[in-house]
Amino acid sequence: MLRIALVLLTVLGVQTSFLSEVRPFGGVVDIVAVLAAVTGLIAGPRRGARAGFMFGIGFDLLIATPFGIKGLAYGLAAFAVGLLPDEPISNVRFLVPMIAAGGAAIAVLAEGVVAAIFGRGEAFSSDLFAALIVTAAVGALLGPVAKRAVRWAMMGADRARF
Amino acid sequence: MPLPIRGASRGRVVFVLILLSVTLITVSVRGNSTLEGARSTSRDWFSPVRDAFGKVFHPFENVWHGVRDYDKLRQDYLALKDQVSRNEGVSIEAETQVKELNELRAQFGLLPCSAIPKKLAEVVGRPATNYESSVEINKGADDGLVTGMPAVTPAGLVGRVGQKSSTHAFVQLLYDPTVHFSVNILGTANTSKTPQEILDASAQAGGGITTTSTTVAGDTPTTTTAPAESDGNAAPTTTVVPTTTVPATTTTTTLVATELGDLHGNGRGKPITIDFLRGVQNVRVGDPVVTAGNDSSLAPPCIPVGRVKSVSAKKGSSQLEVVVEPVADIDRLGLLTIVLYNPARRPPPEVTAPTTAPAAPVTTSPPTT
Repeated sequence: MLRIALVLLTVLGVQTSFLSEVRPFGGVVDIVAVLAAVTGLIAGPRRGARAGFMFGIGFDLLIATPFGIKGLAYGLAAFAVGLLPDEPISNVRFLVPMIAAGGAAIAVLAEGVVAAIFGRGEAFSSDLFAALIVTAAVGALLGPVAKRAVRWAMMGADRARF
Repeated sequence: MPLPIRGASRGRVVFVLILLSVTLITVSVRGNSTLEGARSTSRDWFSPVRDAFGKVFHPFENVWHGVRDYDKLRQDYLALKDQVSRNEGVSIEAETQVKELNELRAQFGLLPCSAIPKKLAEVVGRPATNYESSVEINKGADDGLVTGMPAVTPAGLVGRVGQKSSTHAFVQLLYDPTVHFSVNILGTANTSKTPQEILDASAQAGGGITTTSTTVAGDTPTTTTAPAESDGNAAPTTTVVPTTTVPATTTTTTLVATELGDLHGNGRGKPITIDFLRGVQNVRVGDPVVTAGNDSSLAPPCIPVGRVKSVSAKKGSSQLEVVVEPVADIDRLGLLTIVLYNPARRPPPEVTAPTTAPAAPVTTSPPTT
């Protein structure tokens, strides 16, 4: 638990300082979404959904948007990634970056949809699609690193699928 | 056919996740002090961590901005240099007008804008999501900040204080759809309408027009119109006999006092608009927009907001759609000033002053020939 908190704190620190300043093409790179997607990949749908929800709630605590939107979005994305079958992912190396990219993009899109449902229609803007692309790109780059970090955080708990 | 146990368990997880999240979002949107307290404590607790990461990554941010924004910054620099040289002359005139305004406000028992206490704050956090329209500052409730207080830069209004903790606060920027300010659009220049037409329009709209004239003596008698009464009836005119042989020139400046409306944002990257305009609706592109201030607003009536960028008719409505270009650069905020204005503490205006004040005396310069 302590390791998971440490990883989350680090990621939130980078997210709220550096990545909120740097907005490629107008979109914010969401590495917490990458972390949630990779957690779903490693921990499976149930634990992944719970962990993704907690990551989102942790992020929600620090920002000024309605509380719980990120929790729901990241939880659903982690759950969706966790539903993928174990066998090919553990054998094919390049699948991890692809899944991290796709899962993170799902999280960003889900956040936009949930925000729009709850009256924040401005969430659906050109910035959202920019964020989808840049988050997916960064997810593909950082996916393997995030996988190592999550495995380290869950080490000893016998929770990792592979 | 019953679901397999594994599938049912997964479905339950998703169901609980959605239920819990929707409950939290609903509670948050409706406003809950416990939840806000938890968020406020978390932000206070997390701020040293974020500051530490900010220091570590600051050089990387500089590199990023250097590579990405160099050309734009250079263009901005050249444009600003040109603007500064043009404004030097104007600033002297503006200082005189500000002094006169403050004297007038003092006569009416109103606080001069400069007398309102302010608190300087540094922006320590930018929007961390795509649709968030707030920046975080390093001042909070302990510094006297109250939700709704306006945040300004030397250029003008940028937003209002939103959620706050004891040491930090969020400033909701002007493009946030939940930010509303009561504003005045000030008509400035001569219009195609004659003063009488504007006065007639004012009378129909219930007042709000003031006309003043500056007269330079010439060969023919000229007419000076004293400030109009608020009900639209012009005061008696005074005829000035020419005293010099200088060719006659008469400059009439028409000041349309107010077009009161509701300024609000429409999301990041979208125009900031004014709704619910009332009055003669004599709005033109370039007209300045300032906060109107009212008894329930924490924004005093003297903060520049921007200029009218476009005016168009609203579809299916008799209202105008007015788009405002803010004077402050909302996307590049470093330091902000929070105006600690509380209308409840404002001294009451003197009631007798407007009606008993005599018309401004007309003065003529001594003959030059």
